[in-house]
Amino acid sequence: MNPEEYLDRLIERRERREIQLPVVNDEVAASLAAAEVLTQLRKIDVPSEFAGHLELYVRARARSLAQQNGRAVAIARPRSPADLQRFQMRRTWIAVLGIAAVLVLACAGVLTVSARSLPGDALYSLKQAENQFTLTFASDPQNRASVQVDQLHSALDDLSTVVDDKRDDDTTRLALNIVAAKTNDSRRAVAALPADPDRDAAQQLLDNVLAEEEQLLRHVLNSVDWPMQVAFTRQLGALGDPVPTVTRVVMSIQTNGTRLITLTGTNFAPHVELIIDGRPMGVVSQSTSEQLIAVISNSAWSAGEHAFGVRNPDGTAAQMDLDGNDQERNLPGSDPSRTGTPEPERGGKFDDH
Amino acid sequence: MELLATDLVSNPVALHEWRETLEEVGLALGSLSAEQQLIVIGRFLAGQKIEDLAQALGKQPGAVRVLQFRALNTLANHLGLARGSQRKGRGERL
Repeated sequence: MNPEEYLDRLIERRERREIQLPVVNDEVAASLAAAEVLTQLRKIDVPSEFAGHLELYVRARARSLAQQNGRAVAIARPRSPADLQRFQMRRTWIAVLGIAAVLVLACAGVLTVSARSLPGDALYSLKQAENQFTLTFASDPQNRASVQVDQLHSALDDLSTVVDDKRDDDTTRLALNIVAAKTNDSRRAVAALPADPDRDAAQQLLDNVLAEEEQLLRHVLNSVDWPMQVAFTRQLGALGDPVPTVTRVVMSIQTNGTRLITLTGTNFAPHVELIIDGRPMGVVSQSTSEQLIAVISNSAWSAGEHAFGVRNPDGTAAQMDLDGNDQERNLPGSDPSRTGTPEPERGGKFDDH
Repeated sequence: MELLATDLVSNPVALHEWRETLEEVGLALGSLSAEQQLIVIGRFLAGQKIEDLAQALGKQPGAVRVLQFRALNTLANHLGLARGSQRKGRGERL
């Protein structure tokens, strides 16, 4: 019997817990030890989400390898009983292989990669799962608050990288939402601590990170597009910064055909811009910290739905989303005009027909 | 004794060691050929028989045993399990 067959027999006997045969040489002994390490890994029941990612990876690798070898993996429809048996065997093998994926994965450094993953990446959920594990089993409220603040800091790093990499708006919004959620969680965790010096220390730590957050949000305001400027501004407002808001829009058609638009809100800065559908429009004729009046020529105006907003010179921005049901015409006798009230969560637009 | 995911979750030290072990084995697996990786994974992590692996890969069982033997030897060297071998992974625990 050659060493390869002998080793396989030893492995099978171990699996069946049968009486062991003598190990004939160091090479076989070492191979047997490696097999034992791998077998022990199999006994670890990995989190399902984790296994899911690994399974995808293993499946892709198995397909790739089979294609390199000139064979398809369980894709062709079986035509004979023998084909069917092979077909089912391969399917079973690939499926089971996926479940055990711990391995390969490890192989590709998936764990390390997930630690560096960003919102929107396939492995980011793995990172979030590990974050959740860490939180769930934080030893005490003080430790939990500390972990929350650490995770907020990590979320800020991710957001900064996402913006620097110029990822798409969906990814940026996801990263921002995570920062917003972590901000709230951190505040709650610190607020839940008993009033003592430890809480003061935690609060100081949180204040430092929140200051970083404010600095980051303001820094990237001019690097992102209009929808993101509005979203970032909203988070700045959540931090307590005085940011612009729009609470009312009134538009009237003047006798010369131009549109007179009046936006009411808060924290409008000098030189504030009127933004319609994400683009600067009109000539601002008058503005205070709470009102902006602008004129738009008839030729620059188009019928249809429009979203109205403002942008301060520092990049902070606000937009009023209107629900169609909130729109109303002014009283008879006045200029035909449209008004609306804000509906922050619904995203309707001002509809001018 | 089987180590469950819940144990890992509740034990940060165990979770850390689990990750290190996986990374070490992962690095070692990375030194194998693609076929050797699939054979090792299928055999020891998915619990497949040599004959099943042979059929899936379109090889003779004897050829799969040879690949398995070489793969385990390579892993043993990388993991510091072979006599006179030097551990190539990081950390000392497995």
